[in-house]
Amino acid sequence: MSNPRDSANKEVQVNREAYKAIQDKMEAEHLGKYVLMHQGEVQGIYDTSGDAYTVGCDKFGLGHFTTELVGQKPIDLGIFALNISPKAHNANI
Amino acid sequence: MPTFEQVIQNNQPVLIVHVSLPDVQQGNVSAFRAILDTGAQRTSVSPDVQNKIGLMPLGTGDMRSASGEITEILKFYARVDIPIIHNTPSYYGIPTQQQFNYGQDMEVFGLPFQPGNYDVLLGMDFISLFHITFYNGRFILSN
Repeated sequence: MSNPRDSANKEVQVNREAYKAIQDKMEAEHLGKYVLMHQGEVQGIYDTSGDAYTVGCDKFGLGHFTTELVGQKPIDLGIFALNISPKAHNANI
Repeated sequence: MPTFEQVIQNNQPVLIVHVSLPDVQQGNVSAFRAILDTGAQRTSVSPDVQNKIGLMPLGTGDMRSASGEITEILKFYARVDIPIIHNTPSYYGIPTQQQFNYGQDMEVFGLPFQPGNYDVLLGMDFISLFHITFYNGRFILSN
């Protein structure tokens, strides 16, 4: 039986790749909205992350969906997170 | 809302927060050391928090690292609350204590390393819920 976290990480990767392919179109049409994705496909578009999360939990279960904020800019996590590196990130996923 | 007041130790505004799965689910609530970080746009949590609460990744976010590189980090959805103990004088003059939790369900980002002295970085998305005053070696939160 697979680890739920491994399965969730795989879902993240599949959905991330799928979202990148439609990112320009989504930013042109749904800027600022939250996209609910499951198995590489868009399942719905919502006004808030909470709405997308609630629907995702109800329909697919935690760990089996992702959400994307359309037009999300890179974030700054401040001085305490400055030692985050791509290497550390890859180890986490 | 009652006011939360804490002594600043070692020049760091550290406090205890409760983290759990969002309200729509039943789950563990655990207490973690948190630090107020007005330089952080978003709130982030350590691997210990992710494991203890059972958070599942909800996608990724792009973070700008110290060198200016863009790095993908995991994001989650969690409830973060500050537990506030409030002393209320009773009818007989004996103070009773009540605990209020104040916070919200929110997206949080995963720190890919385990910090030594805190588990939660409270960013401006959380801090901006409150009035914050730094004064005379203390910080005071209210809304």
